[in-house]
Amino acid sequence: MAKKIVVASGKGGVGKTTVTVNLGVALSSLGLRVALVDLDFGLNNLDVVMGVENRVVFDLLDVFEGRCRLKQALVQSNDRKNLFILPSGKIDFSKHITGQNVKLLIEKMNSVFDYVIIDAPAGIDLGFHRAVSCADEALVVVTPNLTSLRDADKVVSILQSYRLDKVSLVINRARGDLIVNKKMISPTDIELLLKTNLIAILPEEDAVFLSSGTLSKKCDSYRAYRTFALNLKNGTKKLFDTTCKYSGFFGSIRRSIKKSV
Amino acid sequence: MKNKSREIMRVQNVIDSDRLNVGKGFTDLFVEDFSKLVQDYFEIEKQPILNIAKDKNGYKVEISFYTNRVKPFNSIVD
Repeated sequence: MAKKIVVASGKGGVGKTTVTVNLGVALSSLGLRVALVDLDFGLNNLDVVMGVENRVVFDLLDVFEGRCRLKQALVQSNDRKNLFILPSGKIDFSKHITGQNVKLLIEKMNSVFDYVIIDAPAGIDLGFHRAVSCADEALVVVTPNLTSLRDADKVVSILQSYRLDKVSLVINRARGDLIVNKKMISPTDIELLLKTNLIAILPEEDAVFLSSGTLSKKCDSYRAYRTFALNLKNGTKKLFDTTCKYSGFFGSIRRSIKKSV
Repeated sequence: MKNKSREIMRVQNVIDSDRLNVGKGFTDLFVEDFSKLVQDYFEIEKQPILNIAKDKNGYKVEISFYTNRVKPFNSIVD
């Protein structure tokens, strides 16, 4: 039975698609079978972030309208045999796609995958509700700023009414140097403000911006996503420490260099 | 440090005011449902009054109503 997890945020541009892809990669590197489903109709980018946009032949809409089977629409990752994506329509036909249809389609993946990760659209419109109705759990991606936190709080309260098994927070783009300098709201404060369980802290790093699908093993983000995947798999709460690099004597030098840049 | 706590306070204030922003529909529906429940136990003439306010430990919800009489009945426990 696959675990179906929706990645939501409320505010756009916080990194939902990037989190979906990198989490999928991290889970698949643990040997799990993972499918990433793009439910952001019209503004679909999952295929691009995965680097498989040239291999997309069919999409969700083709499956719904009977032009192909689900298996034919799934696109395998370039370098992982156990990671697939299900791209969404290039044109927004979302009004014709009901939540019930999407739910039935995702149910079909139950026996084939261990995890089905759903990339929800930004906002709290029909598309968001359609994505959430298919899931057992939800991850709310936030960045440490007022607008994102405000929207996330509204999303969390809507998610509570869906009676999901779990709703967890993912803090994206955390800057260790700013947290140590007390110029950015710390993850602990965010967890307290939103009164929601924190499952991952992901650092802001150039490597994420430059990567297309796979992160280098040397970068902090790789370790942060691996910790995140292990938390999901084992139900643990081990958080990546973004501040350790910026604490102590050498940390203060790193901080001042970053400040001057 | 001051900047950070000011920022946290700002976020907290915005979130709190959003959470307190309860629509008229919500209030009306709650009062209606609550009245139905209350009328099994009390005789009331006016609708109960609902008041939600921010408190140290979250939100304080006060429901007040006047009754003319308590409806007496015996339960299995009695």
